[in-house]
Amino acid sequence: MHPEAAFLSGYALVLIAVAAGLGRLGRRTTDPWSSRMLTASRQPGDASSDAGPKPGWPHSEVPAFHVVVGGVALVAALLLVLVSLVRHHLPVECVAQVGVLLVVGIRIARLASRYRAERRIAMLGDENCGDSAAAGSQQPEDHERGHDEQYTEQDLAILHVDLREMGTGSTI
Amino acid sequence: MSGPRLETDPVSAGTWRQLRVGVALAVRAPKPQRNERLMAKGWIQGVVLVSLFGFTVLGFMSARTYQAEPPIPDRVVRPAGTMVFSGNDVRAGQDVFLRNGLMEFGSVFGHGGYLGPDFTADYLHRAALLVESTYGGTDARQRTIDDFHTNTYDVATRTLVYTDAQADAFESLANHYHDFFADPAGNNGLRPSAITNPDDTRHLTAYFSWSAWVSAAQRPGKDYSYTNNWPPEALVANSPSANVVVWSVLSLVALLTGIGALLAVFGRWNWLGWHGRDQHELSFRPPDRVALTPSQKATAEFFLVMGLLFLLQSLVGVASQHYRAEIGGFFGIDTDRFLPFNIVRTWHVQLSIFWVVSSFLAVGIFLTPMIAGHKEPKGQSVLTQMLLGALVVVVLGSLLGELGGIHGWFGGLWSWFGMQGFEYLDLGRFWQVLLTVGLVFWVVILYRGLRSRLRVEHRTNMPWLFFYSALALPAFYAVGLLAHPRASYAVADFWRFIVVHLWVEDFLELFTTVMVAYLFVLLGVVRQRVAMTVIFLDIILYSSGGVIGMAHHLYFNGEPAEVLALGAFFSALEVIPLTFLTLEAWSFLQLGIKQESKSSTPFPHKWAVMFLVAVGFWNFLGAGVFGFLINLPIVSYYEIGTALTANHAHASMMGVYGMLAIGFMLFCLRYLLPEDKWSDKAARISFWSLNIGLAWMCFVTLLPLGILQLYRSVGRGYWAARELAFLTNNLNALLGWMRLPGDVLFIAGGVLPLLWMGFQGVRYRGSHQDVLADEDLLLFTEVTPIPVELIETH
Repeated sequence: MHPEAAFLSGYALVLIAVAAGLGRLGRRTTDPWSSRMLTASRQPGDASSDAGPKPGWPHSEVPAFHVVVGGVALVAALLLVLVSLVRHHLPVECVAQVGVLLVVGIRIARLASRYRAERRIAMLGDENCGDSAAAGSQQPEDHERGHDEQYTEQDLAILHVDLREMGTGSTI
Repeated sequence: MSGPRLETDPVSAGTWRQLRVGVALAVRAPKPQRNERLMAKGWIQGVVLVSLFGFTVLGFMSARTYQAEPPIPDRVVRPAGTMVFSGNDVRAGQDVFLRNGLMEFGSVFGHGGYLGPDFTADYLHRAALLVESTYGGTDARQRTIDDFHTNTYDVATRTLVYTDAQADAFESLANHYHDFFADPAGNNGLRPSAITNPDDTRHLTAYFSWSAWVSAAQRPGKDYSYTNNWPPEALVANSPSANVVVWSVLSLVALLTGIGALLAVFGRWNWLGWHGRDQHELSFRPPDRVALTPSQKATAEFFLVMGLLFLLQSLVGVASQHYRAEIGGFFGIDTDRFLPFNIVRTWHVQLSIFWVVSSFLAVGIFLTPMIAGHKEPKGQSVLTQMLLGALVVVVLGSLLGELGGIHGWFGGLWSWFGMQGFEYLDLGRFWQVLLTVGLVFWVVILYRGLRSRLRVEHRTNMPWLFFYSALALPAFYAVGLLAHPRASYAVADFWRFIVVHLWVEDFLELFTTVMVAYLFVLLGVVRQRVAMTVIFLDIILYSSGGVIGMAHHLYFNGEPAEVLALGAFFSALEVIPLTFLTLEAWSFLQLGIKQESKSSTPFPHKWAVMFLVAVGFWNFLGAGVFGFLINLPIVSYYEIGTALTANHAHASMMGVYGMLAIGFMLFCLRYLLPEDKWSDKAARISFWSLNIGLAWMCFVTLLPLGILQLYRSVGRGYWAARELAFLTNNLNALLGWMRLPGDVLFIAGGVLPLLWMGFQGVRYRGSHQDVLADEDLLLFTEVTPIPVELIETH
């Protein structure tokens, strides 16, 4: 196997791990008083260690942000291996690189569905943000969701199911 | 049962069902007496003690720098006494190196540009090959090692003796470097026939030869060289010293212990006691109903200039990267004839400071009337425009000066008006002084605006913290003036990194922390006391690690081993505040959302806050992860000056300071632009394009290039990781080309919308009303809710 193909395939695997790591990082709460690290060492009975209400905006943007950056890593991995495959395609190189491409492809597909779910969550947070668009100001075209679309408890329940099915372990 | 009590106004306790307007702390009417100190004495004492400790150790390191810097011999001679080169040749060589911008092309001691070779490692390797070849035979390697390791410098006579083999190598290499720099074909990133004067190239060779001697010869009384055995070079048996390994391990221990201790302590006792401005309701004033002062309107031009500089910086960044993908030119155009690599990289580096600073200067001026809470003194607007004019003069003057400098336009005044040459301090000394004066002028503008407020505030309260943090900027930028081109390398590098590290990484960080905290106070989303806690914590954490940690830049440039030890240990502690303050920043933002979610009016700064979210991410990844990746001495030993450094620099400088500067810009533009001209869409496109483009840059090009270089450096030697043939080989060029889509997205989707918004800001800033009353400067109104219990009983 050509060293270049080996390096790029190996690096693509690293990027897959980076994307997975970012995904997990994005799912952690950004509220330090609810974070696992801090609650582990908090005094028992301290009221502020309670998880309390779920974080709203801008915390709701964090998972989506991490998913997008993780997505960049995966697309980068895809492109690097594709280019390598064009340049190095002995049978053994094809097998190795197509294998990596398959893994990348699966991860990208899973990430895409996760992104859609995260965006829906982020939009719920957007409600709290109350930006000018959300407030129905002069720029309705900028708003990613129609004014008449309302999120209900039922939507939240669907999101719960969506995320559980993807095995994300999201805190929502 | 009493109604809700506003922390700042006890009078309101007995009144309910009232609408209160304008009780923000920042805009209270002046009292006849000073406002009392808000922070406990313990915090203030902590800040003073930690800062004193940090700067005392910094003083110790500066003293050791002067005491233990590698000597420049008066003469270097053969065993028979024949002169090889003199100390003046070495100093003249440093002049040639700096005035031709070679530190932005390649490097010495690992510090400088990334395209050209590291001339220290390059000379050492080539000279060792020549010496070994001269000796021949089975003992050639050992004799070569002995030649380079044995320190033959006589302190009394200030004379260094080279063996004949070393002296012959010098003569051969003088020819080699002459051919390299005088090459009429170019093809190395420099302009064709860049340096043709044989005296100049001989002086350069003397400078490189001295740096190679410093890196291999044993320090008197020590078993390692002046550079702690850097660079790695098997031919002369240069390998990591015990200090390099031991302090790497200890710094890891410091990091893990520090993070664990800090999280445990703060988690267990909740010292910070975050509390939002609960118990009352805010109503954000629509941006177009916030009156603007003339000086605030004048800042619109700063943001237009900032956008232009950001665009230019990105374009020259693309050009500099292109040299790695296509060394011979730009899609067939011989760009190296008029825009060689060392110029585009110089501009790229200098502009990164200029555009970020433009934003910081503007937002400082913009916030001043809001902090002062009254109409601004006469002439503020004129002074603001004068400052902008001065900034433009300095930027254009210094950039053109750098271009002229490498062409020798300024003769003996090259260091004043041309290319002073130290990376990040490339601008001529005249422009450097002007920039310092401009920063002082900016502080004067802030002081005029804040004066009446400062008069009634305790000197540790927030308006003073804002002023102190602003004052620190010119003070610490001015330190860079000590990095004189005629100073010895170690001394100049020490003062240079006071600017690169302490000014950029610590004092800009402090100023931005104060500004972000003040923004939240002005928006009413956190109490002033909470904001001050963040600021004091920031000072303590950064002073405990960052000030001394500055020495992590100085591991291998001729500083003594104790500087390496201090740098390694304390810079590892720098990661702790990065981790911790990122967590705390989230808590800080959380307070904001808790409060603003109660607002009946929309929160107007979604995209400014989104850029702060990005700052948190890049602070963790770019500064924390990518920074620590290269921070350990043992890693830095092999990777310094590779793309891993560039990876950290881009992810942290653009990811943290760039995103902050843009967040500030959007905050101000939200008020400068009329509602119907503000575009969430443009802000959103810019946000995602910049973040995706930056991530692409790191993941596709800089990180893999750095890994390849690190592998080669460990396997074959540092010189091999930096040689042009390797950097421009097929795989590296491919990785360079693959950066293109990300760069296009970054510029077209990220920078251009910002430039458009900056232009709109200048165009429409006049549509606001002028200040009519103090209340018109407020960013929110405060509504005391009706307590349910009282309604029921009333």
